[in-house]
Amino acid sequence: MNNVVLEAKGLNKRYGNLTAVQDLSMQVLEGGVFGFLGPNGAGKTTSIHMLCGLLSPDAGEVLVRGKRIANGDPAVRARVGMCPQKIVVWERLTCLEQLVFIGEMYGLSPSLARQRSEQLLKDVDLTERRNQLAKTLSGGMQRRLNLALALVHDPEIVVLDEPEAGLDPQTRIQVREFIRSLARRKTVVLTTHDMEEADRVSDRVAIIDHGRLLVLDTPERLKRQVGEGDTVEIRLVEARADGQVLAESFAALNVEAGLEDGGQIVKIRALNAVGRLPELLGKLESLGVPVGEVSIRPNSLEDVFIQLTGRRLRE
Amino acid sequence: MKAVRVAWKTLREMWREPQIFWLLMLFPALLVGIYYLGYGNTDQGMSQFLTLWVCNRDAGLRGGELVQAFRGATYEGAPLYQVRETEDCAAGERALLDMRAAAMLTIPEDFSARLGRGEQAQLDWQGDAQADTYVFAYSFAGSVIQRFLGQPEGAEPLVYEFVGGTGGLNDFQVGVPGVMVFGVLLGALAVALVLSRERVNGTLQRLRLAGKGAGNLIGGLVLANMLLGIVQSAAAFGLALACGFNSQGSLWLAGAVVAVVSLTATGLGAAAAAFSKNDGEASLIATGLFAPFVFLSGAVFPMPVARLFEVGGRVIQPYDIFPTAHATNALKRILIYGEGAGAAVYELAMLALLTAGVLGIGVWLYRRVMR
Repeated sequence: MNNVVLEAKGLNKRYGNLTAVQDLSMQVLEGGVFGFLGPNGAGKTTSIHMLCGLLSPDAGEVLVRGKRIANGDPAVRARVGMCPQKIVVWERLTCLEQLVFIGEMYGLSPSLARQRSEQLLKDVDLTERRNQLAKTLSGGMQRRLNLALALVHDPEIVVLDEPEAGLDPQTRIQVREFIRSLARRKTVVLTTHDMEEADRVSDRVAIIDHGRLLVLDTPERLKRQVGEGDTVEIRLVEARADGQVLAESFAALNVEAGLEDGGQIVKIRALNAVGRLPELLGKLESLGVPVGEVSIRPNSLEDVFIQLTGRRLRE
Repeated sequence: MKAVRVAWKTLREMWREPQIFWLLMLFPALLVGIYYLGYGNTDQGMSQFLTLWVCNRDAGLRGGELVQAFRGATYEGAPLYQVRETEDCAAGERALLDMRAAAMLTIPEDFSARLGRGEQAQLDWQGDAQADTYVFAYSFAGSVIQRFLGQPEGAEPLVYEFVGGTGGLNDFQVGVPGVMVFGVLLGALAVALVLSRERVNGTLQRLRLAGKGAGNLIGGLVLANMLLGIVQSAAAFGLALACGFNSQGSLWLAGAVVAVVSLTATGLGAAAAAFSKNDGEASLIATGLFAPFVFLSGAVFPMPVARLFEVGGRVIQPYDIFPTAHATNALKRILIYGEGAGAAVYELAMLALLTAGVLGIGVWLYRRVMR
């Protein structure tokens, strides 16, 4: 289970003055879902393009089962299948035609390519649309076809770039289920800027920002780094600027507290937050702070990102 | 084998865009048809182009007889001139300026009198010296006048000889080679569209992931475009033959030349696609590349002689950098002069060499932007 299938070693990529990826080293283990997280523009797509062999790094190397992918054996490259974020289909080919075509491009025999294509169409629920031109499919169907195109050659590693982006809730659930079923047979690398999505489906998570890898661990361990327990967010009636005073007052209760959102929100991390809520609110009252709304939630990867970068993911 | 799959896929995609597909397929034939309507009507012979306005001021009878001589002049059994007699010389001059006349002949008042006295008479011959029709009208006029003045039968001052029996060909026949080059080269636009879409839509990236990049894609397009070129030329030659085109040489050899021109079109299309971000840009840039390859090749109109240097007795001109110039010349040799591959070996070799160059540059540019 702990075999390394995909490894990045000291990857660097620059575009002019912009450093897209800086000294990225990580290992993807066999099986399960590897979440590759980061805000838009963090360098995720550049990184996965290098991982798939589409882009040559300025420095470093990518190994698939210990073999270099860049400029290497096409068979090594074929071990990776990639589903791009953008829908990439041949609009004037039918679903079946394009699956068979790309299968043959990967070197499958026409009969095997057809057999796999038919099975994949079934898997992504497009069998009834098999002879329909891609341009006539709905957006959700096109996205499923996009996914099937990455799988027709039966790769060992499947890289999915923001697979849930732009999906309606129903299709999102379908795709998520498909990813889960896929992860039982293959290694899935999933890039996303949606922390909840990553938390739900990933076995291990790497967080990247400004082209640098910040952390890599299981979601549970990463969330524990932020603090055990839950996060309480208390929206104040009036914004405050004395974050330091608040932090010191709550430290006496053995909880971590701070101001966010321009002093509008007091954020507290605590074990058994529900049981301790009267105590926490009482502390605010004793400090003369009028309280508006209160919400309690478990720690999330978003909290991990905020702790690591000092800002929210979408800021 | 992969290139064959790409070619098949490309043809399928093109087939499913019927407007572009049929326009592309039938464009050379369409040009042949248009050319036939313009120049292929042979019943009236040269007279359909050579309208001669005559302003006869002669007080005697000889002027009228000269007019009749022009009316009766024939070439290859068909009338040579369409004569329009007028008493208003200014009207004739207006017809010249309006390009409704090839030339205007003014016969002076004393024409009969001077001839009667055995003196020289001066005829006034007007026209636009830059116009082909004027040049033809003027060339044939000398012979008509000499005959009118009583030259013995068979002793005409000028004898017209034409290369490879081309004297019997009308403009339609002469124009077919250029029309073929024009029509097939237009395939550059379709290639630019296909390649630009593959790049912009990201499907080329899918092929690259499969280890089959731009080279395979263009390889497939080369095959597809060659096949289209063969069908295009078959349709165009078929229509030309039906319209009375009389090929002097091998149509198979001519078809092979046209197929090579389709490779030039592929190269131009690839180069255009390398700089295009959408369909509009692809069409525009491909048109920009297509224009000099057609209009400076002599396919549409003859280019003036512009000697750069001479190699082995052969004059090298600036236009010789265009493979289409050699394709046009090769087609003329084959279709009009009735020559074989041996006689056209220089044109065929240059066509192959330059086409390989254009194709190589196109592939290089297209692959370059993918890195």
